[in-house]
Amino acid sequence: MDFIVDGFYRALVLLIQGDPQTLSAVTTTLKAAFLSMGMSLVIGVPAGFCLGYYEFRGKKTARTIVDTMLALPTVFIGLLVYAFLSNRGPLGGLGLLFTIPAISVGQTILALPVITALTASTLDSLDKGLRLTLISLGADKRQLFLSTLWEVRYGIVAAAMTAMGRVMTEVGISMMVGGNIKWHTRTITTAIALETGKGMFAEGIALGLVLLAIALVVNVSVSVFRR
Amino acid sequence: MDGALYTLDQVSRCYDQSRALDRCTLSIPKGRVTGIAGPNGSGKSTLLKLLSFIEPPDEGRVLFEGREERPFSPAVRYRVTLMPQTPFLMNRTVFKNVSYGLNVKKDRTDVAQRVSVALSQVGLDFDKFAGRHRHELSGGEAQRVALAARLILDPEVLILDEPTASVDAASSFLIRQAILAFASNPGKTVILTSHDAAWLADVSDEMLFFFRGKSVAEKMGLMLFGPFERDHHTGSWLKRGEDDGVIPVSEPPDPDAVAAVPERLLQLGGNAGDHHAAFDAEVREVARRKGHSNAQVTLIGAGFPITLSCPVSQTPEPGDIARVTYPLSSLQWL
Amino acid sequence: MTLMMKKRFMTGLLALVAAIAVAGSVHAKALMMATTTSTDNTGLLDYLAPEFTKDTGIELKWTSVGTGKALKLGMNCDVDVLLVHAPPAEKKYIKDGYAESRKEIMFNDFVIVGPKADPAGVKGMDVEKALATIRSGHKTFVSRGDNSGTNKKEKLLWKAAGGPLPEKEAWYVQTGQGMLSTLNITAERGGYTMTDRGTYIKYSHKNGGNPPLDVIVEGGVILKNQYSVLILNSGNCPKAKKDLAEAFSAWMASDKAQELIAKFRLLGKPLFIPNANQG
Repeated sequence: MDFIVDGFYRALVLLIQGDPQTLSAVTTTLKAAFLSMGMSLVIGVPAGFCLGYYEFRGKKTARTIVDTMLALPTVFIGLLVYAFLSNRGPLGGLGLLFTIPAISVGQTILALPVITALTASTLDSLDKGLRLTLISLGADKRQLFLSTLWEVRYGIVAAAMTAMGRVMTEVGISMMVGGNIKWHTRTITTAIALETGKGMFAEGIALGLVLLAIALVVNVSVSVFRR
Repeated sequence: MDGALYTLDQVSRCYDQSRALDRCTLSIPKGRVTGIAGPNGSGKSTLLKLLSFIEPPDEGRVLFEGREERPFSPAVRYRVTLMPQTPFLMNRTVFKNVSYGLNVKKDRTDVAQRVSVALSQVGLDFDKFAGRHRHELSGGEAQRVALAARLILDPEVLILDEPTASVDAASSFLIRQAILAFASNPGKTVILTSHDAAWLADVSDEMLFFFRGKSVAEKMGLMLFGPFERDHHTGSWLKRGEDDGVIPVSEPPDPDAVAAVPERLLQLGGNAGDHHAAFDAEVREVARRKGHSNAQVTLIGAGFPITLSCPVSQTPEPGDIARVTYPLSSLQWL
Repeated sequence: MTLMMKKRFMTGLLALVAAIAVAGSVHAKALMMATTTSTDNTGLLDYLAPEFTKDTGIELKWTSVGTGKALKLGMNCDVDVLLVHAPPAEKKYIKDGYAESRKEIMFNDFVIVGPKADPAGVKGMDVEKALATIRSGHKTFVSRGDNSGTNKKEKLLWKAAGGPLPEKEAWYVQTGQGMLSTLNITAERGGYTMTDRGTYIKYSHKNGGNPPLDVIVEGGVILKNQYSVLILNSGNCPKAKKDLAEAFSAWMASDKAQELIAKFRLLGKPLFIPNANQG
């Protein structure tokens, strides 16, 4: 128990002193998360839109598949991505293994079902009157899409926040595909795993608190956007 | 069909197995107010959605100015607008809701001024309402905002589906004023439906009657639903009501057909004859209006409502049993 | 979909490609190594790496995983060089053609640690006899159970002690975790475990020099823990940076590095004994 209290103290020390290893872990976490959130939003929001907005044969099946992918364990994704990115694998030539983009690829696979499913839900429950109104006011297909997205913007932000939570806190992908290389691919979560594995629990707690602090900052800025 | 702005040619539209519009053929004139009357479920809302090019027909063609058009077509996009039955306001300020249509066509001149004008046309004060969100508006106010959003576009065709349904009296009045003001501009076409039959008849230059997905030639004074019976002795067909009242009809072509007689061919008094059918009905309501030499009489026969008009001097009293006659040949099956 | 959506998709893809390009161009002279958690956890590599970079200009990057995985990474050519401590497995690895050569760099030994009170009464015994005694006494023994180099050594010892592996015995606890975690669990359970001395010294250091576990059994050739650098077979891994790997191997065997290794201490005790230039 005392390591928790110890951890609080150490967290403050790390933050105030600007410990370079912690800083490196923080920037690595943020770089990977930023890249993966970007990719998953670009692909996931339109995909979720199509899945939620339109009626088509096989819609229920598609939705079930996406929902099932929500349960993909991170170590499993890590293993899959490793298989592709390894030099023995089909994409080995890219030399991506043990780099931040590799982590981002895995994290995108993690975040995509979240964004897609939640965006689809938001659009499914959208009032059908919106489409009628927008077309009757002269919107073309592109404006229909954009105005609809703007109308559900809070739902999409919520989806992004949920996905961000999963992405910033995962270990399995970062460890497997990033390699936990100091200064390069050591994220906060893999650093926590490392410290805990070494029995340095207080250090683990400290890093965990640093991660929470980052999450708090992100959420506060989002709520400002929400007004 | 020259002078017609719209022509529908054998148009059908289906939802989930049922035909909302069934091989409908009609035309709507330009520059007039056309009212569409008909019972609930007759397909009026669907018709209006097709006329405003929000949905395409499943069969047939919708012609605008003689050319076939479909949703998102640039020829009609900014010229026709629909005010749906339950208008939807977007999650943004009233100002943004009203100016949306202008943004869409990238029309940026004097937006604030035009929003103010549009709001005043529906009786809403700009300073009070422009910044409000939809949850800060009453039902009537929201409906008026929706109307303002369409009036600001100055469309050529304004289509309204039950514009004053479920709206408070004050808003209803303001909305009707706004519609009349719009219609009085030259070259504007208005197409609307309303549950308020009297107002609809008043405001419309032309009337269309709609029943089961098709337009019907004229207003029917009598509509009888099956099942129908055959009299054992005479072999003639009739409709027996729960009150045991009986109305003679001709042979139904199929079990689902509805017997209809145009209002103008129903008369009070007269006798049954070779070519005429007669029956008794109870007078329920007699309505006289300023400037009309005829009164509108509503009766109940065999449990069904009957409307006809008769000269003011011959109006019966409510509660009387009156004889109603009509030429058998005028009975239509729908 | 619509043009707008396509544009956004393209922008996203371009960003990804740019990121990849940037990632690929960083540090031309970098050596990727796979090593084991027990090696990394002592802090030796953090201590040696800056010196290596200063002397050779090569940046050393390493990922620490279990021995099995390290060997697998070498097989898949995902790393350029290995630093492991499992000589029988290494020799087989070379025979199977995955590595061309191995250079012995340093060693320490394994010890059996347990509670100060020594409930099994095995202090000072030979390791084979000690294990047999622990077994017959059904005393708690904690194993890493993760097929790591350490774990493989432990299994060897059980074989030497006689009898089958105590896989399913109730007193035999398999943690599936690293050495430090296993030591913690051993202390909690009041049992015995086998650890490399380097990790044990670090563990003591963490416990302020007075840990709940003492060295109970030590010594003997069978307990020797040899660390070696493996150069990957360029036939199997043509893209592996063999020249940089050989530079690393040579540097680790150099007098300077060997001296640094000898000087690496915790609580005044050396964690590793350099032996690159011996037989």
